[in-house]
Amino acid sequence: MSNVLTWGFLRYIGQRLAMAIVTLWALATMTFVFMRAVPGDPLTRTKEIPAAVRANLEQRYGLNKPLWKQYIIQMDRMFLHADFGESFRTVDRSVNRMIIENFPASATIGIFAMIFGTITGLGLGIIAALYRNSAIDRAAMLLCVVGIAIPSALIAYVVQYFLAVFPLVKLHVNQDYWFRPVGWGQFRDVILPGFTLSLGIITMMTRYMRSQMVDVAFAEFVRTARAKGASTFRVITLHQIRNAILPVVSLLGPIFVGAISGSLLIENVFGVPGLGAAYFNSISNSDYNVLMGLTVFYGGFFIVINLITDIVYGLIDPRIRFG
Amino acid sequence: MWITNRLAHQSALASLLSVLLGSGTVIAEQKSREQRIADNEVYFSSGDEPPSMDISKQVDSVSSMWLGHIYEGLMRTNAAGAIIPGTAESVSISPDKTTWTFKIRPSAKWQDGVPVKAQDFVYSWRRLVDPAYASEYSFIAITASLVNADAIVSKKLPKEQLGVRALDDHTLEVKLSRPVAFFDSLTSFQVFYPLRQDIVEKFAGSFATDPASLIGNGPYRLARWQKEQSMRIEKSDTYWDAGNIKIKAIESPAMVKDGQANFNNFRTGGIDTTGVSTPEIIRQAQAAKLKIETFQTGCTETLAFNVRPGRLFANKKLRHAVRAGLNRSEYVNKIVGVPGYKPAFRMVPDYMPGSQPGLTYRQEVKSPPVKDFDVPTTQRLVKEYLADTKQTQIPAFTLLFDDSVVAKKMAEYFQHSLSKLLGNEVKVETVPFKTRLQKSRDGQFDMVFFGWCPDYRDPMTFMDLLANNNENNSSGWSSPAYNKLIEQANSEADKAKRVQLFKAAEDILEEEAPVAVTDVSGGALTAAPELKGVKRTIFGFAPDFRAAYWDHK
Repeated sequence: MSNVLTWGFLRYIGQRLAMAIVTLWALATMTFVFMRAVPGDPLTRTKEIPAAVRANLEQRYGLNKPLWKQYIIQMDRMFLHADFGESFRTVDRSVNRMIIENFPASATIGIFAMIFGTITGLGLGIIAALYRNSAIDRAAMLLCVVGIAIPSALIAYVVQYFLAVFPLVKLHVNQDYWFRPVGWGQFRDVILPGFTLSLGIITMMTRYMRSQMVDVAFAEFVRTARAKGASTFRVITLHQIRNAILPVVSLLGPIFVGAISGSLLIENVFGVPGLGAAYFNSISNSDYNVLMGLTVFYGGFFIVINLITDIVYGLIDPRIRFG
Repeated sequence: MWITNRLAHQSALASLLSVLLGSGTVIAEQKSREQRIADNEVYFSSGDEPPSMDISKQVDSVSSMWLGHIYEGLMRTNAAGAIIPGTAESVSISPDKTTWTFKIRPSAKWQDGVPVKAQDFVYSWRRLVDPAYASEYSFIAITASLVNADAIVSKKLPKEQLGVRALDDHTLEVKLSRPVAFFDSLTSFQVFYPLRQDIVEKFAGSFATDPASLIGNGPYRLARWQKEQSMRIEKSDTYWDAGNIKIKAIESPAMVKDGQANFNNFRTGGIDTTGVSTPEIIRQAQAAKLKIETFQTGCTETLAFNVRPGRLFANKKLRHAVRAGLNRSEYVNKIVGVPGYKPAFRMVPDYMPGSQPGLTYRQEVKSPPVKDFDVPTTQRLVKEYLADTKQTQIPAFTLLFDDSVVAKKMAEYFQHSLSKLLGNEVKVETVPFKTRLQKSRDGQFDMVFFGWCPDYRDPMTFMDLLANNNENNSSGWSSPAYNKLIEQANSEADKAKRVQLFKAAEDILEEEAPVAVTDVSGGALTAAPELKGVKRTIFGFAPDFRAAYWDHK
């Protein structure tokens, strides 16, 4: 690891950070263009707002300014003042407050899903690969196909019904010591939405890990290790898993950002006070500031996580050098 | 349980999560239904997060519901949906119906004990029309014809010129620019609630964002608001009619919009009442032997024709052919599948009041019944149309619908049934909601599904829609005779004469058929058997818990 703290490494980080800012700016600009290109604006209603009232609202929100000016105002506020502005829909609520108040809930179920999903998925993938073509392997692969085929909406309802409603209504388990279908504020409330969210991660991890393990099993260094007389356990853990897991690590960043970015459906079904509803509403209401703010927030998160992934990748893979 | 076992081994994870959980949330204790019944509390799901709790700013069903319990207007609705005195104890109306004088109850108090004054209404209404404040709902003041409201919103006059003033602390005088027969019902509406200048100014930008900054004059005060998570209101002892309020606290323990999730939460005792709003949930409710109550939400739903020149439905015969042949009962029962919806034939729904007490508008004008699914008439009209235009088949046309799951199902139904009825090709275009609005307004469609919900208790709220100055009239239909009748009705002080003017206008719609009305909307709910008196009225907010109580057997 002595290669880490070199000038090359620092220059690499610097370059990546500069790229990150350019990428974020490009993301913000594209978001601006696309959301303005969509028909309607934040003031489009089923019952149209009368012209005089609309004029007052446009003035208040600055929507009557030329587009390029609105663009400059938004970019300046966002990148130079770290302020995402106010929502047009939930009036008086700043996007910054929205993130502070509701991101923790999305992140909580995301982190739970991430940890549970990754551990379970890796485990299943390893076992399926070691017992290739056995009943366990087939069961794991069936689970993956089912996991991809069933829409997450249905999975959320199924999980809610069989793990909360059925036990409480039919089996009469004690309400205080069991999952409730809807609720937030206690640790038990994390499990159902977190578990539902983790199913996608498990599916992806299992398939990926299994195929990596199978690939590695026929690699020359594994054969060499066996030939040297290393124990089966040693071959599997030190040679096979360690090599198979490397490409999987690069998946963790995107999966993590995906997991914490709030699923409208899962949050809505289980009553999780996350950002999912706000994100969804911002799209259907053309709520420019919220849509832009959350996109840039998650985009920034994604870029940072990717950077960390690359660095970690360098730490665990001796073939990668910075500089 | 393998999930919990596995988790038990991940104690490090558990502690990490509880740190995260604790950071953003206040953990509120939730009571079981037995406890709630004993303590006179009701839990329900209010759906979305209320977009704003500032009365003048945002009018949507969720905010209205909470604010309707926290504030009270000059008039209020009773359990039967009738208008009765609220914060005002009486009202006197000048013979020309343009000057309304309200007497504020001396016993009316704000939740901090300060008496409610006439000036509080003046302040609130001026704020509503203030162009600098820019309330989206300032147009309601224009609809109500408050003197100068229009000019103030258009920045031609200062807000102090609004036709409302306090003659003394307990007397409010309102001047209208024309007789508005339904003005009393408007004063029960959210944006006409009073506001305290000192509180609004003290909190400024953070007004009405938490319990400290939101002080109302109604039966309940805000006790807790966790964003996107929960809301709780508790009975206020300062309310003048507190003796008649039975439920001590109303809480939405989670802000969940999903009907199935709410139903599941209801079944496990998490909430005490919930909507059963899809055929699938109704089936489950029936299987669980729950009692289902239906209610009306009162929106008229229509297929609007594009009558602009050059468009297929510029032809009147064809519009009549479609209108006559629609199978509304099949549509309502099989496709919508939600009890509470009813087939409808005319813009003004059955529930709309007429000029005399106890008689609806529909009963008063004695509208003849219309035959549903009148296929022979359709066939005759189609034949005539084809002969008139020397064609052998009706050209293909396009139905414009939203792209939601529900709307797609409706679109498919109308595509199939209209094609069968008219014997031609019917296409469907499903687009996002805002694109649909845009296309309707630009006249880029042949037929569009369009619903309209009433703003106030008068046929005008529907009749006005097809007048030529209305931005929402997407059909492109316009009739000088119709416009004239609507104008006359707008300035007519005599209620009975107004009804006759509406009748004459409706006859024009009957003759011209710019829209084919399909149904009037409704819904269904279920509640804990012991919970009584929860109201859902069309013009009030819903659910209304002011008359609710637990039946302690």
